[in-house]
Amino acid sequence: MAKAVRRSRVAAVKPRSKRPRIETGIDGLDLVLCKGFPAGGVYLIAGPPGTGKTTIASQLCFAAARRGTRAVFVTLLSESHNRLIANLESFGFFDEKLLGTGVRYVSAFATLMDRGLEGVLELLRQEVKQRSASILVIDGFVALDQLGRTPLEIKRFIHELQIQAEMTGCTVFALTSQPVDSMQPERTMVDGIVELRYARNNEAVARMVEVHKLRGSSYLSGGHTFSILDEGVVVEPRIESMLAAPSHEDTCLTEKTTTGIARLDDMLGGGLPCGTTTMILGPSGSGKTSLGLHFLSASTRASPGVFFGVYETPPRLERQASAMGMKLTELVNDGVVQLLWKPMTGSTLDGLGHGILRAIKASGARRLLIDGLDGFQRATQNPERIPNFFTALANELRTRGVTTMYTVETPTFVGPNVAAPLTGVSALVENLIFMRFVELRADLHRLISVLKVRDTDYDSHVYEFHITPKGIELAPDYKSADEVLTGVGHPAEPVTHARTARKRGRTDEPGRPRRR
Amino acid sequence: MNRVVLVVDDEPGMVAVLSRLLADEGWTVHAAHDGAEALLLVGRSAPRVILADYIMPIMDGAELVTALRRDATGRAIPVVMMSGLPESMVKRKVKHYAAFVRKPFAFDELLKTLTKVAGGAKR
Repeated sequence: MAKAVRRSRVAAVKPRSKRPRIETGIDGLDLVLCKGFPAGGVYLIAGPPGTGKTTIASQLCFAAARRGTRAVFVTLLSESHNRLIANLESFGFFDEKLLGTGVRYVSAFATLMDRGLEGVLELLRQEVKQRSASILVIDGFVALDQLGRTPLEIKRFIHELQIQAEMTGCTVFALTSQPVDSMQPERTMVDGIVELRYARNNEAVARMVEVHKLRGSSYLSGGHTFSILDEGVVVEPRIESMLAAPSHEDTCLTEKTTTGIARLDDMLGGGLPCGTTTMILGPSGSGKTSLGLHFLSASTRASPGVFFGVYETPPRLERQASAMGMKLTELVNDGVVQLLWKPMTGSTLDGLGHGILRAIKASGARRLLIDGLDGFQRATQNPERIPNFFTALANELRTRGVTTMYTVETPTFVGPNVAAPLTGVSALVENLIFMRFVELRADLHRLISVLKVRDTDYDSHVYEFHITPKGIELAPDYKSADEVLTGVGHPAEPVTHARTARKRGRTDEPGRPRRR
Repeated sequence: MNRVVLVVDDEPGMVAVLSRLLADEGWTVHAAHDGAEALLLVGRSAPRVILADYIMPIMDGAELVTALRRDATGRAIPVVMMSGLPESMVKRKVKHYAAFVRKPFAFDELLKTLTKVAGGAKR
């Protein structure tokens, strides 16, 4: 008989191999989760009321339904579904046609009251089976504690839920408003915990999402900002965490990129090395944005450009470029240059970083001007993040072959001192250009100098420059700058003499070129 | 065919969930938490098939199979062995089982195996 049994042995059932992933339909969250939640697990989504648990879970359900799978959303709370659905109707992810078939909302409140956890397990099992659901959301896990269920009962409930989820291939998301730290035994038992919370930046409040645990998977640790917009939840993973390693190989470009100013290219030893980052330092009004606009106006179809700024709006930029004779508007109309303005109000550091990356990916830009780097510092409550943020961003841009120019405002208005306002950032950039004012005899002169160029011999002289209707014009040699800096730039003429000379139309004295 | 199954597993959650899912599919389920308890139930429950975990306290799955082979009632009952260990390791200790399922498994796959084994059983 034993032999008979052995002969009729049925082929072994193989274990579930590499678990498939449940994508959330929220791109940023899928990035944080390294392509979504491993299927068949039980995950807690925890956060205070209003943080967005129901929205995230519903978005996830509708994304699953769009893929052709089914989701059941069960609530243990006494709230009516009509109210919940009414709140979701305004979101872009909501699709009325999927209600009832792809996404089904069910109340288990009465079952929980009448038949306890055993009854709820029964209801969940039947719902999943009858609907062939691959996603089950249980809203109001906090109700288990509130109804006086003991930790042992809750533990048993989760354990059985977990086995059921694994065997039926249905992924479970339990939503709770309990603080993550206080959740015992849930915290230890579940396969993953995603916490939603608020973070204050002075008076502004940002929403943060953090994965505390994700069994069998890597994830981007730490907090990531997210917003609830018309389209639904948008997660902006922390740039330095997402780009810990750049997405492309470094091709080590050796070509040069023009700044759009031939004389400055000469100073730089032939232009900016491709794929490098250049910081333009200078006080307000010194000509940083003008220089940046030259750089941007040198964009071509083969080498498109992107402007990303937090201060100047696109119409103002176009007007400024036009006043200097640049054809920026044409380049914008031809789709060669993209102007993006992101107001500081309400922007987060990662929101700005993702905005840049999206624009670069979409346009295939090879030159990028980031105007007002200091504005980025104000977008975060942790300024110590800035160096790592820009290192990660610069590495990514380099491997994408993007030559980047940042403008940074220095706090000193007039004088020779170079004080980079962003600690740790100037050391990360490969090229440094300093623009400044020098005061001499009640007149302001603009000077430009190159402080550093990567792997290149450069002209370290200081040159005077002017902003004219033809744009930035550098003096042909450093003599005028030398004269300004040594205080001998102007003939020691009596004031009356100079006035007389101007009246005679002599506005082109040597050493005193016309300035705008 | 009598659709009676004896589920033997020391993990109460596993027994509870399997019992409910199998009951939903029309099986009559009896449960035991180790091999010794299962042996006591074999005579009373007359299962068509036994679904046993490999690692259990008091009497494990391998010992259960050996004991069943010595038992006049039990020797005809096919055993589906479950384990988180690979089958090659289980085989070193026990050979006379009808099928093997590696944990974690999909319930549908288990059900197919169970139905097939039960269909081929002599009782």
